[in-house]
Amino acid sequence: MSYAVEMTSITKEFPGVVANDNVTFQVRGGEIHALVGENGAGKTTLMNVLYGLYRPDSGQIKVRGQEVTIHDPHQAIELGVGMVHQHFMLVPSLTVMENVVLGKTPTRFALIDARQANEAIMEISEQYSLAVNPQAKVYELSVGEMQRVEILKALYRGADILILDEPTAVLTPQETTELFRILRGLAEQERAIIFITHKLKEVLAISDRVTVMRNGEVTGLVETRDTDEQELARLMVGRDVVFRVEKSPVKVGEEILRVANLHTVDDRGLPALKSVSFCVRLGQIVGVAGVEGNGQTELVEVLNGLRRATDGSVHYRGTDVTQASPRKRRELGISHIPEDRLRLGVNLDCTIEENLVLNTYYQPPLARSIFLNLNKIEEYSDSLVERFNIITPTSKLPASSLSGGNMQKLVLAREMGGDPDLLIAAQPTRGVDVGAIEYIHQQIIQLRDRGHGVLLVSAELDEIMSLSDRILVMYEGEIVGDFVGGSVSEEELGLYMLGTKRMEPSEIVAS
Amino acid sequence: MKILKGIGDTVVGALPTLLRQVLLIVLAMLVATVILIITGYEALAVYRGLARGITTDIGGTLRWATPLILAGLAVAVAFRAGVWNIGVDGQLYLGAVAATAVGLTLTFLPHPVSLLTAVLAGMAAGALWALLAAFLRVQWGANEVVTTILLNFVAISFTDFLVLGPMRGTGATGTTYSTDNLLEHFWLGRIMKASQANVGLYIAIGLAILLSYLLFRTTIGYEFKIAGTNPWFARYGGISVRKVILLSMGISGAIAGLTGVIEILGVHRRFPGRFSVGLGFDGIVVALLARNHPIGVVVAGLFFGALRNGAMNMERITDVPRAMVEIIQAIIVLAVSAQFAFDIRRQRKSAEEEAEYVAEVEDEMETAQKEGEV
Ligand SMILES: Nc1ncnc2c1ncn2[C@@H]1O[C@H](COP(=O)(O)OP(=O)(O)OP(=O)(O)O)[C@@H](O)[C@H]1O
Ligand SMILES: [Mg+2]
Repeated sequence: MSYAVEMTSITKEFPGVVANDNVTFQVRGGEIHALVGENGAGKTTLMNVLYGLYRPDSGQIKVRGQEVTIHDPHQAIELGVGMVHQHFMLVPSLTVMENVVLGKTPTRFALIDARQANEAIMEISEQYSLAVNPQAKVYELSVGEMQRVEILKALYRGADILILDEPTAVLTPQETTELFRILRGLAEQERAIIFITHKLKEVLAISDRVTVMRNGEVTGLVETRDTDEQELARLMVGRDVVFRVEKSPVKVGEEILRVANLHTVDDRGLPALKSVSFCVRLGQIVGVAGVEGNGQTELVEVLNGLRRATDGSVHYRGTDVTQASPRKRRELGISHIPEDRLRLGVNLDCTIEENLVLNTYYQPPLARSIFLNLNKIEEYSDSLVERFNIITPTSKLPASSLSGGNMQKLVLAREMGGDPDLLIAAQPTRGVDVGAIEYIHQQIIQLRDRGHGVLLVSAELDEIMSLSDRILVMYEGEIVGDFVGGSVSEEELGLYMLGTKRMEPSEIVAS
Repeated sequence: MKILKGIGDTVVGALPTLLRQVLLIVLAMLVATVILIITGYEALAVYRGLARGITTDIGGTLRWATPLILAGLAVAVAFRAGVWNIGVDGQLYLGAVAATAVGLTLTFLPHPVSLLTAVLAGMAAGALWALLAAFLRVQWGANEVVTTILLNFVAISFTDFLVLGPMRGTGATGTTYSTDNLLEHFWLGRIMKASQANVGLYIAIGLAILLSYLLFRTTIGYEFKIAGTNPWFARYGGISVRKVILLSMGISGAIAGLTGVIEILGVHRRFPGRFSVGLGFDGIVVALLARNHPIGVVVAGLFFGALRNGAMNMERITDVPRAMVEIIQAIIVLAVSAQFAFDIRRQRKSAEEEAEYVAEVEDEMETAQKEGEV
């Protein structure tokens, strides 16, 4: 049996970590092969080796039976390997067409042959129903569209081995369904698809076979039809994972956050929030469900002082904080886990340590007036690294050296380490492994059990359903549903999320 | 013990960078050698001449290293905060002319006060000129690369006007125009016989140490780094990006002004029109080579000082033209900028564009806050 890709005994070491330890990984043509594993297991590294971004310390790679050495992505592309990275690599100021043809541009008299490029793109996009507008600028696109551009780019370059690194982490359920349809179409054409994800349901839904990694090693290779979530989780984490969240009833306390008639506009100046009112109490987790892009992002930004409210008010513990600065809000005890991890959540060019002290660097004991106490800073950040189990050899490394999931743990450590009175968490478990999800959920619940308030915004219905004491549904900038946690089914919520059903304003008590 | 270990770690941590920069220079010199050979010069003679130029005149090296270090520090400090100060030249001229004006008019001041007043006046002039560009940036998002370059022309022409007009000295001609000499109690002391090296060198080194402290051990340095690398993240964490831009440019401009002051009080002791021969530009190269580390700036400044002075002497004592060393210099500059451009390309987004946007949003938020307070 010949494989499309055959990686044998690959070892790749970074200073202080063995990211891939004697890994063997094989993919057949025409199969969708899921690659799963804990954060930092080495999935991205392995794929970067295949794509020529990293040179393995040892091991060999065969593509369609031919032994090859891949020095750089150019060569990978020539071999028909395409990769859609965990973090998109498009140039925002260029058009879709320009991005797609970048590096392999049809030219005519040294100018871009726009017509030919457009035609080629339209052909591919029709063939696989990858709907995009070639003339649109990339910064105008939604994440789902950007991803289609990345796939289009890979296909345009002739990829028949396609690597997708956590492609669904940022997609809405609808976009995910759409992506799966595209992937099935590609697999039918005998292309090999390598699919990295942390969502085990997706693994079961789309893949033919699964390779599981842990700590840089392969711990399992199974046929998808012979396995289930429990087994995959066990292979990944090395122990049984509790998928059900244990939550005991807690007496809710006084009101900590009250939002009244809040209005705001998005970046394009269009209304994003229309008269949003609700409140969060101590000892309560309020979940905000909704398809992404229905105002949740703007809501969270307004609550944290990063976006201006055009009307309405926000009260925190009875004081008006509608106009308070981000720092003021933090000092009052409001903490924020942002959804845009790469821009807001971490500073990739700074060290892990520098990232961890963002909220506290100027306060004693970390600083006295303007003078930093570097020893205390080191102690403090090391304690957070340990408490939140951030996997890194030292906190002096740049945050960019962390695996995707460990970056999220860093954000969590910074925002929850100070025991906030009110936690505003947007997509807190995006891109983290099952073990870490369990951990994050426990942390959020403990915070609530200790009598603090939590506002949880998530596109994962499971997460909303299992954590929230109260569930709000947002649709087109409005709150259209308000439920007591546990009193509503997933299907019912779905109807509200899609705008098919909505409550009368009088039914929305939101208190 | 812990502190010792800390210093050890820092040195070890800096080693790869140091090695890389030295390698870069060696490489540039190799390329230069090839060019010399191709153009028919005896490469060895050039280097021998250069070496003699350097070794016979350490004082000259230190004389030139002083303004190069200072200009390098000015650029580096702004760079650390993600701001490009291309206007060091203009700020330096204004600083120089302000100090000269103090020296020419406030002649009655007693000794230490006289110096202090001149220095402070020069630093203030440089800082204000730089702040103008910073203000245009935070208020209307005007790119500081463009504005500082334009402000250079304005500043330099303005000093021309002063020196040719109101501040014109006796015996000045059209081509070598200058002010009168300053009185002795405005002079900075010389530190070596038969050389223009002056106390400014100590000031420059002291300033480098001070800036290292500021950048790496204070909340201000932390805020510079955070805002300079990712303004979104800074804003999210409650750091005002506008404050960082204004403060870093203010400090940078003050240092640029000081550079001019020291050239006047330590070297020329009067204001010769257009005295600075590209110090601001060389400051950028020094900062880039040092990767914006203040201590690195001292090393890089000494290196370029030696090169510049060695070239001038070489022409005097051998028959190798100075242009040959300028070629070497140019190649080093190219190599350093290429390395820099490469680093920039690796960054996903231009932090500058982001900063402009963030400043805009911050502006809007501030207005909102003010409205809210009323
Ligand atoms: N450039 C790098 N320098 C140093 N260490 C690195 C680098 N890239 C990855 N690592 C380390 O290698 C290990 C594997 O990282 P990798 O990104 O492959 O994990 P992953 O399986 O993709 O995790 P995730 O699911 O969180 O994205 C991690 O411990 C990470 O910190
Ligand atoms: Mg990864």
